[in-house]
Amino acid sequence: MSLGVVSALALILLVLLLLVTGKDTFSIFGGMILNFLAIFFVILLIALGTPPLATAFISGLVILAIIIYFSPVGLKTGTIAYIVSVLTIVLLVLLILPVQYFGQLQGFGNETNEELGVFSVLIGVSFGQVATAMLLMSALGAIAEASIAMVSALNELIEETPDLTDQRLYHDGRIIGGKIMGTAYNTLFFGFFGGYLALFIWFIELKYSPALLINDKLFITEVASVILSMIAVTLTVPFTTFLVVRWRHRMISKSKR
Amino acid sequence: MQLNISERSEAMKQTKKQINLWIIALVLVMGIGLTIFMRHNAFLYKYTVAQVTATQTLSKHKNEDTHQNVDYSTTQNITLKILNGQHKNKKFNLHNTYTYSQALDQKYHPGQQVLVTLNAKSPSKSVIIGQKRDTLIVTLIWLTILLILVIVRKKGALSILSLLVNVLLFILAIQLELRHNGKHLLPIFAVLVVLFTLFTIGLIFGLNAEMFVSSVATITATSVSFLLFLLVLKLTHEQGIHYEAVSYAVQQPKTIFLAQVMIGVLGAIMDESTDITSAMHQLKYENPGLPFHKVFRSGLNMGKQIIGPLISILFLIFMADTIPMAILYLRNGNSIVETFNWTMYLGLVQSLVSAIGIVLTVPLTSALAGRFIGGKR
Repeated sequence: MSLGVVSALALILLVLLLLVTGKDTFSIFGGMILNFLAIFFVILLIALGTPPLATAFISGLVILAIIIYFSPVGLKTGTIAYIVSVLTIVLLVLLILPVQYFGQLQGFGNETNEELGVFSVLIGVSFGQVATAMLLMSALGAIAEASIAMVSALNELIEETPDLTDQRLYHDGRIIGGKIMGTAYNTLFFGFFGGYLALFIWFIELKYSPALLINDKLFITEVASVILSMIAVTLTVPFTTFLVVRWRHRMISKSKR
Repeated sequence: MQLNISERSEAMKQTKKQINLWIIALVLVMGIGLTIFMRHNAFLYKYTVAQVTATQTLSKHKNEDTHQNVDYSTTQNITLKILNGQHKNKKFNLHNTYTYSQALDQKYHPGQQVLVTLNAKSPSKSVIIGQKRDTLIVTLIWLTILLILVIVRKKGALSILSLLVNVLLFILAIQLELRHNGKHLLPIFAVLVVLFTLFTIGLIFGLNAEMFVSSVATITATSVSFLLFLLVLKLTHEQGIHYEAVSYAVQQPKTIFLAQVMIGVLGAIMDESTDITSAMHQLKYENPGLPFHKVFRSGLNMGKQIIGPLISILFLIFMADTIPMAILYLRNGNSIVETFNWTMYLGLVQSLVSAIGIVLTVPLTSALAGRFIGGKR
């Protein structure tokens, strides 16, 4: 009997997770499987004819919940992180729509033409909307991670020093945010380049002139998705700080009563 | 005296704040100027640039393919005004056919600018190369820089700089690779991984024990997960993998895919190992006498909390890429299994190898931090 590459890798991952994280393996591995199913479901639904962006948005709400509540954070921290993430993706959609309108990033580039030879491309699904769905989906993980990190760090801060002024908290929020953002941008940068290395090699191999490159649909789509994810991740900083400041007030006024 | 000092520092804070505001205002004005310039930069192009001034729908057909997909083809007449070159300000018309799905074609609107291969003798036979998208991308990049400067300030500027250097290294590496006709792709990228790591982590920590711990952990975790992947490929005889499905890889798709796997996870691993390292440094600073196994334990504990979300970041990036192609497959009557095998399998493989690297980083960083980070200073 032989084993597929995916099953073999999944097995190795499972063993390593058991060794390193012990009983948290269940939630981490389970979260991955649920996420995979959610993405697969989005693709199936869109292929069946549901509106792509709305489908991606609704399943985005589910995927964010899976990532956040399956990670080992408390319910309170998790809920704030979830609210921050939802606010962020609402704003992200408001950014994606004009980007798609001005950039017309739908469909496949001239680069893909040969591969598509055997397919019918008149499939009655709006690839413009599929592009917006894709831009939204690819940012979800980064948004969830950044909000969890921000909320946990700020939570720890107000627990250790409950008498911080609001102004001080905003200031510290910015410093903590700066640290988290710096590394998050790296994750995004390498992630996207790792996904599209072949495309960049192609551009350089075919000696695309800068003029063609900076107007190329696929290139712009890639750059736009890194940038939109970076913007989304950055937005979690003020959102989290604002919510934590407000939430802390409520806690204080409750304990006074 | 006391009051005087605090007054002075207050005044300094004020001026600092003002300088910051000025910088932000400057970036704002520059950005608006840049956007307007990009809209009017046609004179920089060797290609003919034209602006759509009017469109008119000529005819619309219903189309049904062999898989019962209903789509519509519309032909539009586009009036274009040339913006550069010797035919500047001349207007001409051409026909454009687009479909409802717009997979390979596009509907044009007045106001859009396009690059054109101009046929001067009969302009209606000119061909649109593509839409001009430079204004959009430049505006977006500027908006991001502005946002980062407003929200995270100096730290933000530093990370932008670090990304720029990484982009340059990247372009250099691909150039170098091409000079060798793509024969040494993997070795070149392996060297690149080391350079990226040393540079990025060096910028975060400076030259010290933390940098050593974090870099060694990053490079080791990346290499071990990659070697494990190679081993799996060998033992399973690459069963299930279709390298033909690597997009845009005309030559040696396998090598390109391997390089993608190696590079894709690097950022996440660096993110993770620097996070754990600085937390362990803080821990040792507060409790200088802490024995190895306690530091190690606490590193593992911290790692547990970040593994899950980090895996999801890459997972969603790699899987979201596959959405358009998977939809095309499904709508062309392929089964779910076939669609999975040909469009999502590679993304899943890349996600799993990355996840393995992310998990390995935790014990590696914790052990190295427990051993090499001192509690003095």
